[in-house]
Amino acid sequence: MNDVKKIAPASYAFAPFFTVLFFAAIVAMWFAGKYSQSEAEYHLPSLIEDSYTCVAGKNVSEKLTVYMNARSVAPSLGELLCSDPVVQRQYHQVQVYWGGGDVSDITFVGKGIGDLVNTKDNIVQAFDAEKTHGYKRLASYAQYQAYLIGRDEKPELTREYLLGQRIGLLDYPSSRSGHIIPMHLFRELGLREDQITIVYSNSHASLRELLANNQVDMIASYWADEDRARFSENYIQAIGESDVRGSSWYMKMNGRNTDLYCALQTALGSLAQQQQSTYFGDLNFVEACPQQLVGR
Amino acid sequence: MQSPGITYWGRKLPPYSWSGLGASIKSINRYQIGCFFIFYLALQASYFFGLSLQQEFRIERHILAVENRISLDLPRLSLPNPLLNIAGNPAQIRDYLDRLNRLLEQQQTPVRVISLQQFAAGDISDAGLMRASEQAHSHMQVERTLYVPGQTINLTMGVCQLTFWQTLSVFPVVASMLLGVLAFPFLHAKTPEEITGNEIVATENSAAKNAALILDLENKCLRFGTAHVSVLLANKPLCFYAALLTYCQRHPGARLCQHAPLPEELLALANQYFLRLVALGHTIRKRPDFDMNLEKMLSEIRAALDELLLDHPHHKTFFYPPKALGEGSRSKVHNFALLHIAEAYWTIKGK
Repeated sequence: MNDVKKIAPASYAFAPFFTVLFFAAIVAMWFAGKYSQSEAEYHLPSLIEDSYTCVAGKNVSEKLTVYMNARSVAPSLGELLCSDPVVQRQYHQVQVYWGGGDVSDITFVGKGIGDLVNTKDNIVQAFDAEKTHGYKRLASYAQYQAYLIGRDEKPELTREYLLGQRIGLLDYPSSRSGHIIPMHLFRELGLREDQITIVYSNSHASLRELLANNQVDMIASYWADEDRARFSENYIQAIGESDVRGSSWYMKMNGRNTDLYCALQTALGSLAQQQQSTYFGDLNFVEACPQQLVGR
Repeated sequence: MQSPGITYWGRKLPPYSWSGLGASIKSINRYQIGCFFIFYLALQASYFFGLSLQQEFRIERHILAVENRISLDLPRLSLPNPLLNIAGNPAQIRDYLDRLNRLLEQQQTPVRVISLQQFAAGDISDAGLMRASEQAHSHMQVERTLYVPGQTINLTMGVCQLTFWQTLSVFPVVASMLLGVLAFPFLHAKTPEEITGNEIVATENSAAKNAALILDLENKCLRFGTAHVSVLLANKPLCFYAALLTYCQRHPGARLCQHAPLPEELLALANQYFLRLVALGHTIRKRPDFDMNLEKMLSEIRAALDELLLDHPHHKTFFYPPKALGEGSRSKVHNFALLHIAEAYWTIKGK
């Protein structure tokens, strides 16, 4: 019964001291909670790579700038160039950029930044880059035919047939088979853009995905052997000219650097041998190297 | 020779020993445990708020870091833009988001990207992007919008919340124990020496007030509870009863026999109370001999208590000096000490 009486403090003199102590402990606990977690790293480095760099020669300071569209092939080309004796003699470093579409193409070719560039002829022509920056065509990938590829039937090249159809095109305007030739065809047939449904896609591979998933009725693209597994060769319709040239390699010729010309041809030839099963495997040189350095 | 003792805020603390420690642990009462928990809850709450605030701050900084990274990378990311007939590259975006999430996981940040525009990142729980320790956490979804000219970019992130156990810490426990150690000497049961002065029964309990015996030296009377009834008592029995109450409180289980000499302390207390009566101006007579006429004094006290506790007979157990039962009033074994006084409420006014 007397418990309450028993715990009453004998003296209240300590109360202010204890109150201060208690609130100090409260504040200390707040700080303990605040600083209980370890220091965090808030800096996020850049994740996007746009080039592959390798060291070639030691006694020179020049850099060979290469530009191409395919990221997967860029490191192989870089290694081939870095191991070439002529490149080692003339350049300290090789940097192979891979592009992000037409904007990058225009930057590297139009401004003459790339020493060796893989681009479409129409880009080079658009900027008159052969005269402006001295680009010289080294080699081109194989010519091909542009097609309208249907899923369930062979497309007809008539206005009546194409009216209201869903057609897959590439979203970059420099593509001949995926954009320029089909657009040219629609204009020739008098089809306005509101009379057909154009579905844009980022690549030839994603165009095929659209067709396979029945999101479009037909696509504008090239025909490759591996397409037989998914689509019928009977349902393709050739459009435009039959000699659409693939992309080309251009070299910026400063003077008469024939050693480098031949060395680059050799490297591109070796790359074509490495990539025989892909688009990059069928390479045609514009003119032979005078010193017969090309292995093909 | 008096041994030096540790003093704390004017209080002499008992000398430290293992047996003393054990006794101290045993003497911890439920009020002290209650105080400890109040301290703990207050300190734990403070710790929790500090931790939560810092966590919110950290999460916001991580979110801003992710927003900043994505904003800087936007020109290189192939996001769809219907106005410009750009289809976008889902594979590139997914690859980018997965690499970003792997980086966030490596840096042990609590934030992951769930989606950018309509492109969802790989399942963060399956792709090894979530640490094993994060599996049990609850996750909050945060949506942010990035505004670029002509386009609005929606970014969704998942934030890993702290678990309940992560908000607990040993610091509040240790700190509340330390506070308890500092406060417990003041919350211990008081020694009899402490029950002095003008201390009135400290309680808010009205029942306790109602059952309290008040020995009023100023008015030379006994009162009980809040009733206005008071019974006057002569100087000698009044002082003796005050001394008896005090003595029995200090010495639970004491034996007081009529034929044995009364303890010196009891007599000294009685004399002290008499001197107090003199000081209060109630008498100028010389100090009586409390050892004489003990039976008569006890009878007067019992008579006064009979009158006072007429309506509360069960309280006699605490305050009534026991009568000899059976063994005869002159028995040598008769004990008139107040054996149950420690369980009762009483006070002396005008000490």
